[in-house]
Amino acid sequence: MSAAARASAIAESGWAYPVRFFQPQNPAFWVYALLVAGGAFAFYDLARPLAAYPTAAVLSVVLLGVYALPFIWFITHADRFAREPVKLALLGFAWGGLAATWVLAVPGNDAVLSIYAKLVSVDFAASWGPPLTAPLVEESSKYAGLILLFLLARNHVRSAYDGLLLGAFTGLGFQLFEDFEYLTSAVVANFGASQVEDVVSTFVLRGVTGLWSHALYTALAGAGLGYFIGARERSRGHRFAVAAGFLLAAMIIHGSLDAVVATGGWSVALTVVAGTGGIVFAWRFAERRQRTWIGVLLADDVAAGTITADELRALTGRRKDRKAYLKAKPGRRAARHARHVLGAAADLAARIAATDDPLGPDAVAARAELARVRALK
Amino acid sequence: MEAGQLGQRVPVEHRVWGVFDRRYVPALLVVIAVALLWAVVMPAVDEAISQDEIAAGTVTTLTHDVSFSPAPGWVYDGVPVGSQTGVTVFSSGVRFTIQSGRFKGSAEQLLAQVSSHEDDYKVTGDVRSLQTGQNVPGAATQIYGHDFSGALFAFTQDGVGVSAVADGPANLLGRQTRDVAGMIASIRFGGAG
Repeated sequence: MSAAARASAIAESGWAYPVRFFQPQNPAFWVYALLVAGGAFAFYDLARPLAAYPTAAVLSVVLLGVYALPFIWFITHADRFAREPVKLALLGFAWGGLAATWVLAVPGNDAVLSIYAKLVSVDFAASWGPPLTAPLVEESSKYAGLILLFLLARNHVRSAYDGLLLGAFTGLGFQLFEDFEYLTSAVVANFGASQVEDVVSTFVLRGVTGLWSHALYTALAGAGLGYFIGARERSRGHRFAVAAGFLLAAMIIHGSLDAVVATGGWSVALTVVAGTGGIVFAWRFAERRQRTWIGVLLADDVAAGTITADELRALTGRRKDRKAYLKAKPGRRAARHARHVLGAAADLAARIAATDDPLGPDAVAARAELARVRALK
Repeated sequence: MEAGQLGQRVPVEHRVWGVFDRRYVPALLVVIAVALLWAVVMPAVDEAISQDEIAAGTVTTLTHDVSFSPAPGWVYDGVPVGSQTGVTVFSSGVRFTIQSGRFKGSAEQLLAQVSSHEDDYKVTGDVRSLQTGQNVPGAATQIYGHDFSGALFAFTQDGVGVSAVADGPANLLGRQTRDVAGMIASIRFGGAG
Protein backbone atom coordinates (compact mmCIF):
# COMPACT_ATOMS: atom_id res chain seq x y z
CA MET A 1 0.00 0.00 0.00
CA SER A 2 1.41 3.35 -0.96
CA ALA A 3 2.35 6.00 1.53
CA ALA A 4 0.02 8.35 -0.33
CA ALA A 5 -2.96 6.05 0.25
CA ARG A 6 -2.07 5.75 3.91
CA ALA A 7 -1.65 9.51 4.28
CA SER A 8 -4.97 10.01 2.54
CA ALA A 9 -6.74 7.59 4.92
CA ILE A 10 -5.18 9.32 7.92
CA ALA A 11 -6.12 12.75 6.64
CA GLU A 12 -9.69 11.68 5.87
CA SER A 13 -10.18 9.94 9.19
CA GLY A 14 -8.67 12.75 11.25
CA TRP A 15 -7.30 10.12 13.63
CA ALA A 16 -3.93 11.81 13.77
CA TYR A 17 -5.27 14.92 15.43
CA PRO A 18 -5.76 15.40 19.16
CA VAL A 19 -8.88 17.05 20.54
CA ARG A 20 -8.37 20.35 22.34
CA PHE A 21 -11.32 21.90 24.16
CA PHE A 22 -9.83 25.24 25.17
CA GLN A 23 -9.67 27.25 21.94
CA PRO A 24 -10.14 30.91 22.90
CA GLN A 25 -9.51 31.97 19.31
CA ASN A 26 -12.44 29.85 18.12
CA PRO A 27 -15.90 31.48 18.49
CA ALA A 28 -17.43 27.99 18.59
CA PHE A 29 -15.64 27.43 21.90
CA TRP A 30 -17.27 30.52 23.44
CA VAL A 31 -20.73 29.65 22.11
CA TYR A 32 -20.36 26.12 23.50
CA ALA A 33 -19.01 27.30 26.86
CA LEU A 34 -21.65 30.01 27.26
CA LEU A 35 -24.60 27.76 26.50
CA VAL A 36 -23.35 24.82 28.57
CA ALA A 37 -22.65 27.17 31.49
CA GLY A 38 -26.16 28.59 31.05
CA GLY A 39 -27.52 25.04 31.13
CA ALA A 40 -25.56 24.26 34.27
CA PHE A 41 -27.03 27.32 36.03
CA ALA A 42 -30.54 26.44 34.86
CA PHE A 43 -30.12 22.87 36.04
CA TYR A 44 -28.78 24.05 39.39
CA ASP A 45 -31.81 26.28 39.74
CA LEU A 46 -34.06 23.33 38.99
CA ALA A 47 -32.22 20.96 41.32
CA ARG A 48 -31.84 23.40 44.25
CA PRO A 49 -35.35 22.85 45.67
CA LEU A 50 -34.61 19.12 45.67
CA ALA A 51 -32.54 19.68 48.80
CA ALA A 52 -35.90 19.24 50.53
CA TYR A 53 -36.12 15.73 49.05
CA PRO A 54 -32.63 14.26 49.53
CA THR A 55 -33.81 10.65 49.34
CA ALA A 56 -35.40 11.24 45.95
CA ALA A 57 -32.45 13.22 44.62
CA VAL A 58 -29.83 10.66 45.64
CA LEU A 59 -31.94 7.70 44.52
CA SER A 60 -32.54 9.35 41.13
CA VAL A 61 -28.84 9.96 40.59
CA VAL A 62 -27.95 6.40 41.58
CA LEU A 63 -30.64 4.77 39.43
CA LEU A 64 -29.84 6.90 36.38
CA GLY A 65 -26.11 6.34 36.88
CA VAL A 66 -26.62 2.58 36.88
CA TYR A 67 -29.02 2.90 33.94
CA ALA A 68 -26.39 4.79 31.94
CA LEU A 69 -23.74 2.09 32.34
CA PRO A 70 -25.11 -0.42 29.79
CA PHE A 71 -25.61 2.44 27.31
CA ILE A 72 -22.02 3.59 27.74
CA TRP A 73 -20.79 0.02 27.55
CA PHE A 74 -22.81 -0.61 24.41
CA ILE A 75 -21.71 2.57 22.66
CA THR A 76 -18.04 2.09 23.51
CA HIS A 77 -18.14 -1.67 22.90
CA ALA A 78 -19.75 -1.17 19.52
CA ASP A 79 -16.98 1.28 18.69
CA ARG A 80 -14.70 -1.62 17.86
CA PHE A 81 -12.26 0.69 16.17
CA ALA A 82 -11.98 2.63 19.45
CA ARG A 83 -11.34 5.93 17.75
CA GLU A 84 -13.76 8.30 19.50
CA PRO A 85 -11.88 10.37 22.08
CA VAL A 86 -13.40 10.39 25.55
CA LYS A 87 -13.02 14.17 25.71
CA LEU A 88 -15.20 14.67 22.66
CA ALA A 89 -17.82 12.21 23.95
CA LEU A 90 -17.94 14.09 27.27
CA LEU A 91 -18.37 17.40 25.46
CA GLY A 92 -21.31 15.91 23.58
CA PHE A 93 -22.78 14.49 26.80
CA ALA A 94 -22.48 17.88 28.54
CA TRP A 95 -24.11 19.69 25.62
CA GLY A 96 -26.99 17.21 25.53
CA GLY A 97 -27.49 17.20 29.30
CA LEU A 98 -27.09 20.91 30.03
CA ALA A 99 -27.29 23.27 27.05
CA ALA A 100 -29.65 21.40 24.75
CA THR A 101 -32.04 20.45 27.55
CA TRP A 102 -32.31 23.50 29.77
CA VAL A 103 -31.26 26.44 27.60
CA LEU A 104 -32.86 25.45 24.30
CA ALA A 105 -35.39 22.64 24.55
CA VAL A 106 -37.30 23.49 27.72
CA PRO A 107 -38.10 27.14 26.83
CA GLY A 108 -38.63 26.18 23.19
CA ASN A 109 -41.03 23.32 23.99
CA ASP A 110 -42.98 25.38 26.51
CA ALA A 111 -43.33 28.30 24.13
CA VAL A 112 -44.41 26.26 21.10
CA LEU A 113 -46.92 24.22 23.12
CA SER A 114 -48.36 27.40 24.58
CA ILE A 115 -48.65 28.93 21.10
CA TYR A 116 -50.54 25.84 19.88
CA ALA A 117 -52.88 26.15 22.86
CA LYS A 118 -53.51 29.82 22.20
CA LEU A 119 -53.81 29.71 18.41
CA VAL A 120 -55.40 26.30 17.86
CA SER A 121 -56.86 24.77 20.99
CA VAL A 122 -55.89 23.34 24.34
CA ASP A 123 -57.07 19.88 23.24
CA PHE A 124 -54.90 20.01 20.12
CA ALA A 125 -51.91 21.14 22.18
CA ALA A 126 -52.48 18.28 24.63
CA SER A 127 -52.73 15.53 22.00
CA TRP A 128 -50.76 16.61 18.92
CA GLY A 129 -48.62 19.25 20.62
CA PRO A 130 -45.91 16.87 21.90
CA PRO A 131 -45.26 15.04 18.60
CA LEU A 132 -45.33 18.32 16.67
CA THR A 133 -43.07 20.13 19.12
CA ALA A 134 -40.49 17.94 20.85
CA PRO A 135 -38.99 16.28 17.75
CA LEU A 136 -38.39 19.64 16.10
CA VAL A 137 -37.20 21.54 19.16
CA GLU A 138 -35.20 18.79 20.84
CA GLU A 139 -33.60 17.22 17.79
CA SER A 140 -32.48 20.62 16.47
CA SER A 141 -31.17 21.55 19.94
CA LYS A 142 -29.02 18.44 20.11
CA TYR A 143 -28.00 18.78 16.45
CA ALA A 144 -26.68 22.27 17.17
CA GLY A 145 -24.34 20.69 19.70
CA LEU A 146 -23.07 18.19 17.15
CA ILE A 147 -22.28 21.06 14.79
CA LEU A 148 -20.37 22.76 17.62
CA LEU A 149 -18.42 19.55 18.27
CA PHE A 150 -17.43 19.54 14.63
CA LEU A 151 -16.34 23.18 14.87
CA LEU A 152 -14.33 22.38 17.99
CA ALA A 153 -12.72 19.24 16.54
CA ARG A 154 -12.80 19.78 12.79
CA ASN A 155 -9.94 17.38 12.29
CA HIS A 156 -11.63 14.63 14.16
CA VAL A 157 -15.35 14.70 13.32
CA ARG A 158 -15.06 13.49 9.77
CA SER A 159 -17.34 10.56 9.17
CA ALA A 160 -20.80 9.17 9.67
CA TYR A 161 -19.27 6.91 12.32
CA ASP A 162 -17.97 9.88 14.31
CA GLY A 163 -21.36 11.55 14.03
CA LEU A 164 -23.21 8.43 15.08
CA LEU A 165 -21.15 7.82 18.22
CA LEU A 166 -20.99 11.46 19.28
CA GLY A 167 -24.70 11.75 18.58
CA ALA A 168 -25.33 8.76 20.84
CA PHE A 169 -23.39 10.38 23.70
CA THR A 170 -25.08 13.76 23.15
CA GLY A 171 -28.50 12.11 23.15
CA LEU A 172 -27.62 10.07 26.22
CA GLY A 173 -26.76 13.27 28.10
CA PHE A 174 -30.10 14.78 27.10
CA GLN A 175 -31.96 11.62 28.05
CA LEU A 176 -30.42 11.24 31.51
CA PHE A 177 -30.86 14.86 32.55
CA GLU A 178 -34.41 14.88 31.23
CA ASP A 179 -35.11 11.65 33.12
CA PHE A 180 -33.74 13.24 36.30
CA GLU A 181 -36.29 15.99 35.91
CA TYR A 182 -39.11 13.48 35.35
CA LEU A 183 -38.10 11.40 38.36
CA THR A 184 -37.87 14.32 40.76
CA SER A 185 -40.96 16.05 39.37
CA ALA A 186 -42.98 12.94 40.21
CA VAL A 187 -41.84 13.31 43.82
CA VAL A 188 -42.74 17.00 44.00
CA ALA A 189 -46.08 16.27 42.34
CA ASN A 190 -47.00 13.96 45.17
CA PHE A 191 -45.92 16.41 47.87
CA GLY A 192 -42.77 14.44 48.66
CA ALA A 193 -44.82 11.98 50.68
CA SER A 194 -43.79 8.85 48.74
CA GLN A 195 -40.33 9.64 47.43
CA VAL A 196 -38.95 6.14 46.86
CA GLU A 197 -42.16 4.83 45.28
CA ASP A 198 -42.44 7.83 42.94
CA VAL A 199 -38.81 7.71 41.82
CA VAL A 200 -38.81 3.95 41.22
CA SER A 201 -42.13 3.83 39.36
CA THR A 202 -41.18 6.75 37.10
CA PHE A 203 -37.74 5.26 36.56
CA VAL A 204 -39.22 1.95 35.39
CA LEU A 205 -41.54 3.72 32.92
CA ARG A 206 -38.81 6.01 31.56
CA GLY A 207 -36.29 3.18 31.53
CA VAL A 208 -38.34 0.94 29.27
CA THR A 209 -39.11 3.63 26.68
CA GLY A 210 -35.57 4.96 27.08
CA LEU A 211 -34.20 2.20 24.87
CA TRP A 212 -35.78 3.99 21.91
CA SER A 213 -35.11 7.48 23.08
CA HIS A 214 -32.67 10.36 22.68
CA ALA A 215 -29.44 8.35 22.42
CA LEU A 216 -30.92 6.53 19.44
CA TYR A 217 -32.47 9.60 17.77
CA THR A 218 -29.32 11.68 18.00
CA ALA A 219 -27.11 8.80 16.87
CA LEU A 220 -29.23 8.61 13.72
CA ALA A 221 -29.15 12.36 13.13
CA GLY A 222 -25.43 12.44 13.92
CA ALA A 223 -24.65 9.76 11.34
CA GLY A 224 -26.16 11.99 8.67
CA LEU A 225 -24.27 15.06 9.84
CA GLY A 226 -21.01 13.10 9.95
CA TYR A 227 -21.63 11.88 6.41
CA PHE A 228 -22.30 15.44 5.24
CA ILE A 229 -19.00 16.55 6.75
CA GLY A 230 -16.88 13.61 5.67
CA ALA A 231 -18.06 12.30 2.32
CA ARG A 232 -16.47 15.11 0.34
CA GLU A 233 -16.14 12.96 -2.77
CA ARG A 234 -19.94 13.22 -3.13
CA SER A 235 -21.82 16.31 -4.27
CA ARG A 236 -23.02 18.83 -1.72
CA GLY A 237 -26.61 18.16 -2.76
CA HIS A 238 -26.24 14.42 -2.21
CA ARG A 239 -24.63 14.90 1.19
CA PHE A 240 -27.27 17.41 2.22
CA ALA A 241 -30.04 15.02 1.18
CA VAL A 242 -28.49 12.19 3.20
CA ALA A 243 -28.02 14.40 6.28
CA ALA A 244 -31.57 15.77 6.00
CA GLY A 245 -32.91 12.22 5.55
CA PHE A 246 -31.24 10.96 8.73
CA LEU A 247 -32.40 14.01 10.70
CA LEU A 248 -35.95 13.60 9.41
CA ALA A 249 -35.92 9.90 10.32
CA ALA A 250 -34.78 10.79 13.83
CA MET A 251 -37.57 13.35 14.15
CA ILE A 252 -40.24 10.96 12.87
CA ILE A 253 -39.17 8.17 15.24
CA HIS A 254 -39.05 10.66 18.10
CA GLY A 255 -42.47 12.00 17.13
CA SER A 256 -43.97 8.52 16.99
CA LEU A 257 -43.11 7.96 20.65
CA ASP A 258 -44.48 11.35 21.66
CA ALA A 259 -47.69 10.71 19.70
CA VAL A 260 -48.84 8.10 22.18
CA VAL A 261 -51.75 10.26 23.39
CA ALA A 262 -52.79 11.43 19.93
CA THR A 263 -52.74 7.95 18.37
CA GLY A 264 -53.96 5.94 21.30
CA GLY A 265 -50.64 4.16 21.60
CA TRP A 266 -50.21 2.40 18.25
CA SER A 267 -47.42 4.75 17.18
CA VAL A 268 -45.16 3.24 19.85
CA ALA A 269 -44.93 0.13 17.66
CA LEU A 270 -43.56 2.37 14.90
CA THR A 271 -41.02 3.78 17.36
CA VAL A 272 -39.75 0.32 18.25
CA VAL A 273 -39.67 -1.08 14.70
CA ALA A 274 -38.37 2.02 12.92
CA GLY A 275 -36.01 2.90 15.76
CA THR A 276 -34.41 -0.55 15.84
CA GLY A 277 -34.24 -0.84 12.06
CA GLY A 278 -32.99 2.71 11.70
CA ILE A 279 -30.12 2.39 14.14
CA VAL A 280 -28.97 -0.93 12.65
CA PHE A 281 -29.02 0.61 9.17
CA ALA A 282 -27.22 3.75 10.36
CA TRP A 283 -24.56 1.66 12.08
CA ARG A 284 -23.81 -0.38 8.97
CA PHE A 285 -23.91 2.72 6.82
CA ALA A 286 -21.52 4.56 9.12
CA GLU A 287 -19.08 1.71 9.65
CA ARG A 288 -18.21 1.13 5.99
CA ARG A 289 -15.75 3.97 5.61
CA GLN A 290 -14.20 3.22 8.98
CA ARG A 291 -13.46 -0.33 7.92
CA THR A 292 -11.86 0.85 4.69
CA TRP A 293 -9.49 3.16 6.57
CA ILE A 294 -8.33 0.37 8.87
CA GLY A 295 -7.66 -1.82 5.85
CA VAL A 296 -5.48 0.85 4.26
CA LEU A 297 -3.51 1.52 7.43
CA LEU A 298 -2.72 -2.15 8.02
CA ALA A 299 -2.10 -3.17 4.40
CA ASP A 300 1.72 -3.04 4.75
CA ASP A 301 1.61 -5.15 7.89
CA VAL A 302 -0.44 -7.80 6.10
CA ALA A 303 2.14 -7.83 3.30
CA ALA A 304 4.93 -8.14 5.87
CA GLY A 305 3.15 -10.99 7.66
CA THR A 306 2.64 -9.10 10.94
CA ILE A 307 -1.08 -9.60 10.48
CA THR A 308 -2.70 -12.40 8.56
CA ALA A 309 -5.16 -11.78 5.74
CA ASP A 310 -7.85 -13.57 7.79
CA GLU A 311 -7.23 -11.25 10.72
CA LEU A 312 -7.48 -8.21 8.48
CA ARG A 313 -10.75 -9.52 7.03
CA ALA A 314 -12.12 -10.02 10.55
CA LEU A 315 -10.96 -6.55 11.51
CA THR A 316 -12.33 -4.77 8.46
CA GLY A 317 -15.32 -6.97 7.73
CA ARG A 318 -18.81 -6.66 9.07
CA ARG A 319 -19.59 -7.66 12.61
CA LYS A 320 -20.80 -11.06 11.42
CA ASP A 321 -17.45 -11.64 9.64
CA ARG A 322 -15.62 -10.95 12.87
CA LYS A 323 -17.97 -13.26 14.78
CA ALA A 324 -17.52 -16.02 12.19
CA TYR A 325 -13.75 -15.64 12.40
CA LEU A 326 -13.76 -15.96 16.18
CA LYS A 327 -16.29 -18.80 16.13
CA ALA A 328 -14.10 -20.80 13.78
CA LYS A 329 -11.37 -20.90 16.42
CA PRO A 330 -11.12 -24.23 18.27
CA GLY A 331 -12.53 -23.48 21.70
CA ARG A 332 -13.24 -20.45 23.83
CA ARG A 333 -9.65 -20.00 24.89
CA ALA A 334 -8.45 -19.76 21.29
CA ALA A 335 -11.32 -17.42 20.42
CA ARG A 336 -10.40 -15.13 23.30
CA HIS A 337 -6.79 -15.14 22.21
CA ALA A 338 -7.81 -14.30 18.64
CA ARG A 339 -9.95 -11.44 19.96
CA HIS A 340 -6.96 -10.05 21.84
CA VAL A 341 -4.82 -10.28 18.71
CA LEU A 342 -7.45 -8.31 16.77
CA GLY A 343 -7.47 -5.71 19.53
CA ALA A 344 -3.70 -5.35 19.39
CA ALA A 345 -3.88 -5.04 15.59
CA ALA A 346 -6.47 -2.26 15.92
CA ASP A 347 -4.13 -0.52 18.35
CA LEU A 348 -1.36 -0.77 15.76
CA ALA A 349 -3.60 0.91 13.19
CA ALA A 350 -4.34 3.67 15.69
CA ARG A 351 -0.63 4.27 16.36
CA ILE A 352 0.17 4.41 12.66
CA ALA A 353 -2.66 6.90 12.16
CA ALA A 354 -1.65 9.04 15.14
CA THR A 355 1.93 9.44 13.96
CA ASP A 356 1.57 8.94 10.20
CA ASP A 357 4.71 6.83 10.48
CA PRO A 358 4.46 3.04 10.09
CA LEU A 359 8.11 2.68 11.08
CA GLY A 360 8.18 5.16 13.96
CA PRO A 361 8.70 4.20 17.61
CA ASP A 362 4.97 4.16 18.39
CA ALA A 363 4.19 1.76 15.56
CA VAL A 364 7.22 -0.37 16.42
CA ALA A 365 6.07 -0.60 20.05
CA ALA A 366 2.53 -1.49 18.92
CA ARG A 367 3.94 -4.24 16.69
CA ALA A 368 5.98 -5.57 19.60
CA GLU A 369 2.84 -5.62 21.73
CA LEU A 370 1.00 -7.44 18.94
CA ALA A 371 3.80 -10.03 18.84
CA ARG A 372 3.65 -10.40 22.63
CA VAL A 373 -0.10 -10.93 22.60
CA ARG A 374 0.21 -13.39 19.72
CA ALA A 375 2.84 -15.39 21.65
CA LEU A 376 0.50 -15.79 24.63
CA LYS A 377 -1.33 -18.57 22.81
CA MET B 1 5.39 21.15 14.14
CA GLU B 2 3.23 18.17 15.01
CA ALA B 3 0.38 17.06 12.82
CA GLY B 4 -2.12 17.98 15.53
CA GLN B 5 -0.88 21.54 15.80
CA LEU B 6 -0.68 21.95 12.04
CA GLY B 7 -4.18 20.56 11.68
CA GLN B 8 -5.60 23.19 14.02
CA ARG B 9 -4.09 26.11 12.14
CA VAL B 10 -6.44 28.03 9.87
CA PRO B 11 -5.07 28.44 6.34
CA VAL B 12 -4.24 32.08 5.86
CA GLU B 13 -6.64 32.60 2.95
CA HIS B 14 -9.58 31.46 5.08
CA ARG B 15 -8.85 33.50 8.21
CA VAL B 16 -11.35 35.96 9.62
CA TRP B 17 -9.96 38.46 12.14
CA GLY B 18 -6.73 36.56 11.86
CA VAL B 19 -7.93 33.51 13.76
CA PHE B 20 -11.28 32.09 12.71
CA ASP B 21 -11.96 30.03 9.61
CA ARG B 22 -14.49 31.81 7.39
CA ARG B 23 -15.60 28.47 5.88
CA TYR B 24 -17.22 27.55 9.19
CA VAL B 25 -18.99 30.85 9.86
CA PRO B 26 -22.29 29.61 8.30
CA ALA B 27 -22.26 26.51 10.53
CA LEU B 28 -21.71 28.64 13.62
CA LEU B 29 -24.51 30.97 12.56
CA VAL B 30 -26.85 27.97 12.26
CA VAL B 31 -26.05 27.00 15.85
CA ILE B 32 -26.61 30.56 17.09
CA ALA B 33 -29.86 30.79 15.11
CA VAL B 34 -31.20 27.55 16.61
CA ALA B 35 -30.27 28.69 20.12
CA LEU B 36 -31.91 32.08 19.64
CA LEU B 37 -35.00 30.56 18.05
CA TRP B 38 -35.81 28.27 20.96
CA ALA B 39 -34.41 30.26 23.88
CA VAL B 40 -35.46 33.78 22.86
CA VAL B 41 -37.65 34.13 19.77
CA MET B 42 -40.36 31.53 20.40
CA PRO B 43 -40.81 32.48 24.09
CA ALA B 44 -41.09 36.12 22.94
CA VAL B 45 -43.67 35.18 20.30
CA ASP B 46 -45.61 33.22 22.89
CA GLU B 47 -45.47 36.19 25.24
CA ALA B 48 -46.59 38.55 22.49
CA ILE B 49 -49.67 36.54 21.60
CA SER B 50 -52.40 38.03 23.70
CA GLN B 51 -53.72 35.76 26.34
CA ASP B 52 -57.40 36.24 26.98
CA GLU B 53 -58.75 36.48 30.45
CA ILE B 54 -60.28 33.25 31.64
CA ALA B 55 -63.95 33.05 30.79
CA ALA B 56 -66.66 32.32 33.33
CA GLY B 57 -67.45 28.62 33.57
CA THR B 58 -63.96 27.45 32.53
CA VAL B 59 -62.99 24.16 34.13
CA THR B 60 -59.32 23.21 34.35
CA THR B 61 -58.36 19.59 34.90
CA LEU B 62 -55.50 18.43 37.06
CA THR B 63 -54.02 14.96 37.42
CA HIS B 64 -55.77 12.31 39.53
CA ASP B 65 -59.16 13.37 38.20
CA VAL B 66 -59.18 16.66 40.07
CA SER B 67 -60.60 19.84 38.54
CA PHE B 68 -61.31 23.42 39.54
CA SER B 69 -62.81 26.54 37.99
CA PRO B 70 -60.44 29.48 37.76
CA ALA B 71 -62.11 32.77 38.57
CA PRO B 72 -63.29 34.69 35.51
CA GLY B 73 -60.97 37.54 34.54
CA TRP B 74 -57.86 35.84 35.91
CA VAL B 75 -55.03 34.82 33.53
CA TYR B 76 -53.13 31.54 33.29
CA ASP B 77 -49.39 31.47 33.88
CA GLY B 78 -48.81 29.28 30.83
CA VAL B 79 -51.88 27.80 29.25
CA PRO B 80 -52.51 24.39 30.82
CA VAL B 81 -52.23 21.63 28.23
CA GLY B 82 -53.99 18.41 29.16
CA SER B 83 -54.16 17.28 32.77
CA GLN B 84 -51.53 19.19 34.68
CA THR B 85 -49.94 18.41 38.00
CA GLY B 86 -50.17 22.08 38.87
CA VAL B 87 -51.71 25.24 37.47
CA THR B 88 -51.09 28.88 38.35
CA VAL B 89 -53.42 31.79 37.63
CA PHE B 90 -52.88 35.50 38.26
CA SER B 91 -54.99 38.56 38.79
CA SER B 92 -54.00 42.05 39.90
CA GLY B 93 -50.74 40.99 41.50
CA VAL B 94 -52.22 37.99 43.29
CA ARG B 95 -51.19 34.44 42.43
CA PHE B 96 -53.18 31.27 42.95
CA THR B 97 -51.33 27.96 42.50
CA ILE B 98 -53.08 24.63 42.78
CA GLN B 99 -51.54 21.16 42.65
CA SER B 100 -52.90 17.63 42.82
CA GLY B 101 -51.06 14.44 43.68
CA ARG B 102 -51.22 11.10 45.39
CA PHE B 103 -51.40 11.46 49.19
CA LYS B 104 -52.50 9.00 51.85
CA GLY B 105 -53.36 10.99 54.92
CA SER B 106 -55.53 13.76 56.27
CA ALA B 107 -55.75 17.33 55.02
CA GLU B 108 -53.90 18.48 58.14
CA GLN B 109 -51.11 16.03 57.38
CA LEU B 110 -50.89 17.25 53.79
CA LEU B 111 -50.75 20.83 55.01
CA ALA B 112 -47.85 19.91 57.29
CA GLN B 113 -46.14 17.93 54.52
CA VAL B 114 -46.32 20.80 52.02
CA SER B 115 -45.17 23.47 54.48
CA SER B 116 -42.30 21.30 55.75
CA HIS B 117 -40.68 21.28 52.28
CA GLU B 118 -41.25 24.94 51.52
CA ASP B 119 -38.49 27.52 51.87
CA ASP B 120 -40.25 30.41 50.14
CA TYR B 121 -42.71 31.10 52.93
CA LYS B 122 -43.38 30.43 56.57
CA VAL B 123 -46.61 29.28 58.17
CA THR B 124 -48.26 31.47 60.77
CA GLY B 125 -51.44 31.20 62.82
CA ASP B 126 -53.65 28.25 63.54
CA VAL B 127 -54.81 25.56 61.19
CA ARG B 128 -58.46 26.07 60.32
CA SER B 129 -60.94 23.64 58.89
CA LEU B 130 -62.92 24.32 55.71
CA GLN B 131 -64.50 22.38 52.88
CA THR B 132 -64.95 22.57 49.15
CA GLY B 133 -68.29 22.99 47.41
CA GLN B 134 -68.25 19.19 47.06
CA ASN B 135 -68.04 18.95 50.88
CA VAL B 136 -64.52 17.56 50.84
CA PRO B 137 -62.96 18.52 54.18
CA GLY B 138 -59.75 20.51 54.15
CA ALA B 139 -57.35 22.54 56.24
CA ALA B 140 -55.92 26.01 55.76
CA THR B 141 -53.35 28.24 57.38
CA GLN B 142 -51.87 31.65 56.81
CA ILE B 143 -48.42 32.06 55.28
CA TYR B 144 -46.00 34.94 54.91
CA GLY B 145 -42.81 35.55 52.99
CA HIS B 146 -40.31 38.37 52.53
CA ASP B 147 -42.77 40.78 50.89
CA PHE B 148 -46.00 38.87 50.60
CA SER B 149 -48.61 37.06 52.60
CA GLY B 150 -51.31 34.58 51.76
CA ALA B 151 -52.91 31.28 52.61
CA LEU B 152 -52.10 27.62 52.15
CA PHE B 153 -54.94 25.14 51.64
CA ALA B 154 -54.98 21.34 51.61
CA PHE B 155 -57.67 18.76 50.83
CA THR B 156 -57.53 14.99 50.66
CA GLN B 157 -59.94 12.31 49.55
CA ASP B 158 -59.45 8.65 48.67
CA GLY B 159 -55.65 8.81 48.46
CA VAL B 160 -55.60 12.00 46.40
CA GLY B 161 -54.38 15.30 47.79
CA VAL B 162 -54.82 18.85 46.57
CA SER B 163 -52.78 21.79 47.81
CA ALA B 164 -53.36 25.41 46.88
CA VAL B 165 -51.52 28.60 47.67
CA ALA B 166 -52.90 32.10 47.25
CA ASP B 167 -50.28 34.78 47.78
CA GLY B 168 -49.45 38.35 46.93
CA PRO B 169 -48.83 41.75 48.52
CA ALA B 170 -51.07 42.10 51.56
CA ASN B 171 -52.86 45.20 50.24
CA LEU B 172 -53.78 43.44 46.97
CA LEU B 173 -54.62 40.07 48.43
CA GLY B 174 -57.65 41.40 50.30
CA ARG B 175 -59.33 42.49 47.05
CA GLN B 176 -59.14 38.97 45.63
CA THR B 177 -60.40 37.08 48.65
CA ARG B 178 -63.78 36.43 47.10
CA ASP B 179 -62.24 35.01 43.90
CA VAL B 180 -59.84 32.81 45.85
CA ALA B 181 -62.68 31.49 47.98
CA GLY B 182 -64.63 30.73 44.83
CA MET B 183 -61.75 28.78 43.32
CA ILE B 184 -61.28 26.80 46.53
CA ALA B 185 -64.99 26.00 46.61
CA SER B 186 -64.85 24.88 42.95
CA ILE B 187 -62.26 22.15 43.56
CA ARG B 188 -63.74 18.80 42.61
CA PHE B 189 -62.40 15.32 43.20
CA GLY B 190 -63.39 12.64 40.71
CA GLY B 191 -63.71 14.61 37.48
CA ALA B 192 -65.09 17.84 36.23
CA GLY B 193 -68.68 16.68 36.35
